[in-house]
Amino acid sequence: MEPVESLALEQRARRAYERGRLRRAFRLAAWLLPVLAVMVGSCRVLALSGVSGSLLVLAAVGLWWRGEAYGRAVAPGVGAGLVPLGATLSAAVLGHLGPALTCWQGCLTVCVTAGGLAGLLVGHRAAQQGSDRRSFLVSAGVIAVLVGAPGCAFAGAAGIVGMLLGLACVSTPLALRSSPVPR
Amino acid sequence: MDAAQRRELQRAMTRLADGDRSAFHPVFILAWPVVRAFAYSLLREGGDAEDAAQQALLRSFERASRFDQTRDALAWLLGITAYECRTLRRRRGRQREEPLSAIFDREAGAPSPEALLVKEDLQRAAREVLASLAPSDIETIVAALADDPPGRPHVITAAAFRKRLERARRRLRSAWGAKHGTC
Repeated sequence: MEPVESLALEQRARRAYERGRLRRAFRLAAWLLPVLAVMVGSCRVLALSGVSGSLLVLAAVGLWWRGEAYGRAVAPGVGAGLVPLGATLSAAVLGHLGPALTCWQGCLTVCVTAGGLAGLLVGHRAAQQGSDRRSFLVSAGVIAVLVGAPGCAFAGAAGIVGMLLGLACVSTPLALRSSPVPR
Repeated sequence: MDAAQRRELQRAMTRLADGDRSAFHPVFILAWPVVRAFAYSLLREGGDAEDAAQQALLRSFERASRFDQTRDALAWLLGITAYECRTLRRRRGRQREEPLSAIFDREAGAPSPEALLVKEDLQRAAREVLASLAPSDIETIVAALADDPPGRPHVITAAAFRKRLERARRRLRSAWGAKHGTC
């Protein structure tokens, strides 16, 4: 085979590879449907859960397509995000949270604490990623915030910011201080 | 492919499956000669082997993100190549069952097999009826159908031949009517 033909074949193979990755990313996105259902069901502000859910799907597909630490971060990110979502949902079901803003302090405490727990999970997993831990930390953090945001909307924007702060304050030092562990 | 190259292919394929784009070129360089040689060994015809090898390579890269790193990369690649070769051979076999000229003839307005069968039946029936006539009538009809104008024996006049043909036709018509009930 001539070098030019070989180059053309390599380019076609590269396109096939990217196409295959994208197709797989969309297929994996189907696993997010139950999470999206919980997000929509648990949030009183439908627009917020809609925007958050759409961004989650877009981010997850993009990260899965990109692969490496970015792709590996999606599942732990979703798992971590379910902590604040589940915590606020459980608190609401158990009656500890009243209608929006009537128990602002309690809502905020739940959001910050749940965000901290999510940060613990993300930071712990990021520390295991070796040299890729920064990209893993950011990707998992973004996914966790997108999943947890509709739950923390009970406390308004402050709840979401509180969760974000809790997550960042716990996960970042944990991930960056740990010595890199080979995967 | 020696053992070192095989290990290198395994490592590069694992990285590529994870999304490491820098592993693409090494996989291409290592995989293409093996896939091509294997396709040529399975398919004798050069053109078919080249087609199957390229198709197999593209399919392998398309599925690279689904490659399970616990499997042997070389065996995985050759498995896809064998499948592509089998598919191509089956497709070629189906094409050989009906030659292209037959399809083109039919499309160009040539009679269909059903029309040919009807024509054959009619010719057989006509031969049977003709055989029931007197030899002089058969001779007259055959002479009229012959290509040689005016299609009559040279020993009789044209008027006598026309009269004889008229009588032969009448007998033929009545014989056909007696056998098949219609003219």
